[in-house]
This record gives sequence, structure tokens and C-alpha cells, in this order.
Amino acid sequence: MRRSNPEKRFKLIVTIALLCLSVIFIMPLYWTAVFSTRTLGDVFNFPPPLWFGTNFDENYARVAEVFPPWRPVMNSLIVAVPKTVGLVLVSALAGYGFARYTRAPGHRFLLLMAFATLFFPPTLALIPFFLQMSWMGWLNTFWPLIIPALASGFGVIWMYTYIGSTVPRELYEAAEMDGSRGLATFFFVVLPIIRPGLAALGVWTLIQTWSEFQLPLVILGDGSKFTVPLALTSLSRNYFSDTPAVMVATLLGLIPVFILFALLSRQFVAGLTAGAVK
Amino acid sequence: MAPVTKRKRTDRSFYLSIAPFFAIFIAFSLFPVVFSVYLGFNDWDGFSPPRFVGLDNYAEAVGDPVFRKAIGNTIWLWIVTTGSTVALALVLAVLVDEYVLFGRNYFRMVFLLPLLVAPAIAAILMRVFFTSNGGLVNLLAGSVAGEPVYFDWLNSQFWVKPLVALLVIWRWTGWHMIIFLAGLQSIPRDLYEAARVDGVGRWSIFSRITVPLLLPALAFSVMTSTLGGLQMFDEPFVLTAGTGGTNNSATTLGMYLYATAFTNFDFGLGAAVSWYIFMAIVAVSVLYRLIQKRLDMGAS
Amino acid sequence: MARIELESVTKTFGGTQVIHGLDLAIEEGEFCVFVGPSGCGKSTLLRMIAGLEDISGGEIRIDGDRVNEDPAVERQLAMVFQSYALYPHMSVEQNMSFALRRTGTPKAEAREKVRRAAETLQLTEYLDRKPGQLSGGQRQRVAIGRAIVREPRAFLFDEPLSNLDAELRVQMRFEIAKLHQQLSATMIYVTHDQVEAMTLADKIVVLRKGRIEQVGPPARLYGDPDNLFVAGFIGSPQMNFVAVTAEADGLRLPDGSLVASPVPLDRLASGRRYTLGIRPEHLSTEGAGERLSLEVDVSENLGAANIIYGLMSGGTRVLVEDRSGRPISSGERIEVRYERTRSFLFDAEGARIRG
Repeated sequence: MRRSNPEKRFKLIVTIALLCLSVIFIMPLYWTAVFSTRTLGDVFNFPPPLWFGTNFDENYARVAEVFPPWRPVMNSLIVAVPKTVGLVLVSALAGYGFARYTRAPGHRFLLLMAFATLFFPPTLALIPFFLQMSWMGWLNTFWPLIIPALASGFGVIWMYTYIGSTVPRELYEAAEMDGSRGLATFFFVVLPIIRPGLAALGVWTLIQTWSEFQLPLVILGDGSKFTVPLALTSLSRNYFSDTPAVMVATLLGLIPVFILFALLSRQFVAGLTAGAVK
Repeated sequence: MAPVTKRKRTDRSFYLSIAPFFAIFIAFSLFPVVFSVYLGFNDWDGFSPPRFVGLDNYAEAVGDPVFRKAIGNTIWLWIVTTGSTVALALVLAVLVDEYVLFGRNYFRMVFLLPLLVAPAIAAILMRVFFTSNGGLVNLLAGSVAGEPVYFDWLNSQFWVKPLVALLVIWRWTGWHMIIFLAGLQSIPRDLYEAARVDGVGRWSIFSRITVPLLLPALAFSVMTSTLGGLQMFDEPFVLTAGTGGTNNSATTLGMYLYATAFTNFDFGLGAAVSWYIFMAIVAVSVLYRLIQKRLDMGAS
Repeated sequence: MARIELESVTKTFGGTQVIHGLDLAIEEGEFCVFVGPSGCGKSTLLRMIAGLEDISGGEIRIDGDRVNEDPAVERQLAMVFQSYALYPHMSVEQNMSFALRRTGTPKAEAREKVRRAAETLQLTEYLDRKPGQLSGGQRQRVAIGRAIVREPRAFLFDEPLSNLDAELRVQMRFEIAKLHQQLSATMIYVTHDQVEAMTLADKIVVLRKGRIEQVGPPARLYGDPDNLFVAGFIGSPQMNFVAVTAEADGLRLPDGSLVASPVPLDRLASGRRYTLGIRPEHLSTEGAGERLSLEVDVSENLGAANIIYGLMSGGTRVLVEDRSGRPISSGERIEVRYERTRSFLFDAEGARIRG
């Protein structure tokens, strides 16, 4: 028992140190929330306010004078929701194809191609993609942010791995004996079984899309079409000194992903690790 | 009618199921990439007819001191962010996995929260907290110094890159930590117990057992971080309000590319820069592969 | 119910032939078991009949019609898989009615069929449960129920009991036998377990390396095997094999003693080597007949029988299932006897030499 004491003290020190570090990590987010409820004067005083104020409505009103605060959130939703649903479906379908029909000619090669797309840097296609969109008349629309993104090598490889490890081969055969064809098996048998995987990929995609900056910056010119990061960037550039107002807008832009995370954090974490284990 | 074998039916299902992915990929990813090969050899502003210039764009980029500076900045940011993020995440993961008395689930989640904040938004927050006049950091510094501090962090040539790195570390540490935690979970517990029974110390357990067995997860982490690091754009762009900072001290290759294409409308030069970035990624990937093979051989 | 015929059926996987021209007929209502060691091609053969694998050559006929190119569902066969392969997200009822719904059976009719099958299999109270909430035996019954509701022309079983524990396996084996009696349906059953084969089959097909070694009812395979492989595979404990040399007055054992041959000596070439096969249960420490002298290595008393692990001088191991009740101890030298007519003789290629 003599051993357990220093061991326990070490663990206690570690735990407290980690607690402090975690506070530092979430402090910026906490202050975002606090500042959004404070007056301009509070924010520039020392010590900084540590608790919420009552000025949120006023700050909100100042943001609303510049632009409808919920519009970027709506724009982000219009991009993120269809893209997420589509990406998850396209990826699941291809992942199912790769996981089930392993003996089809070209299987290895095509799988390798899908894998290779992971190493395709988006930067490489940015300029020609912009030109392509301009010829197609898609500039300043949401289409370029949705349709091309449906083909995600990451999603396909993820789904391939996930389906391969959750749907046993015999299940496909049982479905085949039961008279279920390829697509029907996908919809009636595979999709319901891989729901957790779909959720994980979905959350990941949604968060990624919510964070996207460079592509919308290039594609969207009209301020009324701006997604959350774009709108916030332009707001903070023009009204930088009004910290509480910027914080209000930031808070609104963060709320949807935080709600999503609160609901689906388990799937999200499961999804992260699914990508790591090849 | 020729008999249709099962083989043919399943093959058809296979191609059908992967068709949507490949169709969209070819139309919107492969085509632009192929097109950018063409762009790289031409001088084009998007309006007047393109002019074939051979390798001029590639030479022009190399001749530009800003481009050379951007290479330096990018490499600096890539190495610093990858190194510190992975190291911090690894330590955190081991501590949370092994040495935490309570709140394991809390630690698992809390470091992930910054990942939910878009890089652009994180950069905005940093601008707010580090602003020279009345920013939180200067206020804190002032309270320590006893007099008001008006240090201009964001326009400091020295500080702007570390700030970008700090942003990346803040956002990504939790992600890497989760990857490592998953890797740690796959290490059999009795290995540790056996080592402890044999009287192996904490540090030796970490360096001789944990790290070697975590190599696959480490490789995945480093590779992911590298892909992001070499293409870094959002954080420095927003943090420097698109300027690249004083004297381009935070201009990355991604920002250089953006400026040539979308500010100066020199699409050919931009395409050439994008190929340089691509080559860098390929080079680093090959390097990793070689190192990994070395390590694998060393292990067996 | 259907008659299934295989005519010079072959299967090639990427250049390697795994089934070598099989001919076989499975009669209407017959319970036919494919048995053999792993890798013998028994599962592949079953899957070819099911329509889950293409047929590389030859022809498979159901009730006289060629089905080589028919999709699995059109062959109207039902299969029970080793892992049960139940749809984990569907209730027992949905699992059992899935095939009916896919093929357009009206809902009321499907319900009724499921209800009847569930009654037969005592699954009525579990109809609303998910497979995850059932025990292994119940899951296997659902898998069988799923096959029954389709009223297939034949049932195919692919090692259906190997995921169950020993006790349950015996019980389910009994239930499958009962089901066969009730439905008098054609059934093809794949297993590596010769006990299952012996207890269930009307007809056993012994396979090895993609070839049929012998086809016949269980009793014939046990009492009159065609070759060394079948003799060794059927029966438990395994048949003893002793290398012998034919001589003018009998068979010379490795220890130098002589025993009588089960076949006339004029059918053997003097001086050639043969293999003598004797089942452990036909050896006894009492009675009359041919004599083997053994040194007892280990003896296990199971109550009804004494399992003696004997060693013939010369190194050949001989297993004896002795029911004499006589106490035996290790290291003891004993003599065991058997009837000449109950032994088998095989030539160097393993083919049986009959009298």
C-alpha cells in the first residue's frame, strides 16, 4: 500500500493540470458568450468580465442594423444540409459497392482511385474550378458548394471501411436469396444497419461545411449569400471595434454546430476514430 | 438472348453503385485538375485569349521574393503546427487514458470543442482578444506590468506566425487526441501490467511500449496535419485581414495563390503555384512512406 | 418439392479449379448431406446450387430445368446460413416476411404464413423482438422460419449448427430432423461434422478436394466405405489403420505377427503393402477372432466403455473401445480381438479391396 500514495498524488496533479488546461481551451468560447452580453465599456476594462451581463438585446439590435443576423445561418444551412445528406448517400452507396462486390473487375483499381482522391489537395483545383463555375453560370450561387462536394473520397473510404466491418457477407446473400436486388438491399438492409456510421459521417461533414471559408470566399460575391464564416469576417472587418456586436454575431453562427455536437457528440467521436483505423 | 450470369449482374450493380461518386468526381475534381495543367503553361487573365508561355509561370513564381517568403512561412507553420499539435495531443491522450482520476469523458470532449469553431471565426476571436487597443491580452499584460500595454501583436512581424500556429493548435489538438485515445484503446492492458510488474518506469513504458504501438495513429495524424498545413489559408488570411501581415510575415502558399488568381487575375501563375503545393505534398508523402518503411523494418 | 441434378459441374476461382466435374442427383424429399473437411468444396457446391456462385461448367437442373443462369430468387430455394444472417434492424416477423414482401405477396397472406411458421417453430411470442434480443437457438429457428415461409422447392443449410454450443446443437439437430419429417421437403445440408451427417441424412455425399469420394446412405458409408478417406472420415472414434504386408498365409503386422485377411489372399499381391482398417468399437479384450497385442499407453474409463490408447510394438497406435468391463491399467500388455469380416483392406492408393 506504500506504493499507492505517490501514485495517487501524481494522478491528482495530472488531473488538476488537465482541468486548468481545459479551462484555457474553452476560455475564448466562454468569453465570446460573456462579451456578447456586455457593454462596450465592460469589455475594454480590466479585469475582464467573468460573468454574463444584460446587454445582449442591445448588442443584437446593433448587429441587426447591419444585416439580418440569422441570414448567414440560413445560408450555411442551405449549403450544409443538402450537401451532408447527398454526400452521405453517395458515399454510402459507393462504399457499399466497394464492400460488397469485391470480385468485380476493376474493383481494386477503382478502390485505389477513390483512395487516391484523399490526397488530392483542394487547393490544386481551386482556380480551374472557379473558372469552370463561371462558365457554367454557377458563380454567386450555392450549387458549387453543394454538388461537387458530394463526391468525397474521404466519405467513400470511410463508408467502405464501416460497411465492411458492420455488414457480414452472409447478409447480402440472405437478401439475395430473399429476392432483394442490389439497390433494394442497399436501401432496405444496408442503410438501416449502418445508421450510426451515417450519423458520424454526417456530423463530420456538417461541421466541416460550417467551417468552410476559402471556397465560399471565391464563389460567393453577394453579401446576402454569405455563409457564417464569410459574413462574420466581413462584419468584423467593418465593425471591428464593436466587440460585443461581433461576439453576438459569432455566437449566433456557432450555436447550430454546438447544438449538433451536443446531440451527436458520441457519433462524432466514433466517426473520428473510424477514419483513423484503416 | 445470351444468358446473363450472376457475375454479370453483380458487376453491373457494382458499377452502378460507384457511378455517382465517380461521375461527380470526374466532372468537378478531375476535370479542373487536368485543366490546371493547361493553365499552368498559359498566361491568362480570364478575359483575353490565353497565351502559351511554357514554363514561364513556374519561373516567375520562383523569381518572386514574396513567393519564396511564402514557402518559408508555409514550411515554418507546417512544422511548428504539426510538431506541437501532435506532441501536445499525444501527451494529453496518454494522461487522459492512464493518469486521470475523474472526468475522463469530460476531457475527451472538452478539447474537441474548438474544432467546432470555423478557422475563420477562430481567427476573428483571436483578433478580438489580441487587438492592440483594449484587447484582452494587452489588458492582462498591462495589469502585470502596472501600466497600459498597447502592443500590436497582429502587426508584429515576429508574433503573427506564432499566433497562427496557436490558432491551429487550439483547434486541432482535441482531434488528434481522440485519434490517439482510440489507438491507445487498442493496446492490450496486460502489456502495461506486465511492464509494471517487471518494474519498468513510467517514461520507459511511454517510450518503449506506448509510442511504438501508437505509430499507425501517429502516422495518420502527422499526414493529416501535413495536408492541412501545406495548404493553410483560412487562419492567416482572416488573422491578417487578407494582407499577409506586415512585410508578408504570415503569407502562406495558399494565400499567395489566392492573391495571384483572385486579386491580380493571373490564373496561369496561380495554377503554377498550385502545382508547386501539390509537388510539396507528394514529396512529403513519399518521405513519410520511406520513413514508415524504415521504422517497420526496424520493428521486425 | 424438387429433384435436383448436377451434371459434370465444375467451379473455377481465378484459374484454380475447386470443383472437378461432379455428377449427383438429389431425389424429391430427400435429406442429402454434403460432408467433408474444410476446403473440400462442399459450401461452394451448395452456393452454386443456391445461385450465389456462378457455375463454371456443367449443368444444374431443378425438376429437369436448367437453372445455371437463373438468379437465386428465381430458383425458389431457401437457405439457412451458419451465422443465421438475420436482418438485425428488423423484428422477427419482418425478418420472416422480408422475402414475401420483396416478391410481392399480399400483406395479409404474408402475415398468415409467418404466423403459421412461427407456430411450428414456437416463435409466436417472439415475433416483435429483434434478433439481438434472442438466444442463439431462437435465432437459428428464426432463420429456419424465414426459409419455411417462402415454401421453397428445397431447403439449403450451410453449417447451420456450428455457431451453437454442444447441447443446443444436439437439440436443434433433432428439430431439423423433425422438420424434415413434417415438411417432407428436399433438403441439402452442409457440415464438416460427420455425426450430424450420420444422424440427419438419407444420403451422404463425402467430398474431398472438390471431388466426390462416395455417395450413399449413412449405414453404407459406415459399413462399406469405398476408400480409406471415407473409412477414416465416417465413424467416431476414427478407424484404426495398420500398415500390413500381404504374405502367403495372411497379413503381416508391423510387430511381426500375422492376422487373417478380410479378403481372399489370391486377390492380393504377395509382398505388397496394404492398409488394414479396424474400427475401435469392433476391437475387444474378450471374444474370439484375430488377435492384436498392445501395450496400454493410456486408458480412459467412460463407464459404458473403456477407451484404450494402445501401442503396437513397431509404433502403430491402436484405439480400442472396449466394453468388456475389464479393468485396464497403463503399461499393461493386453491382447485385443476382432472379427476378420469386420476389418477392411485398402490398397496403396487408398481404394478399398472387396472380397
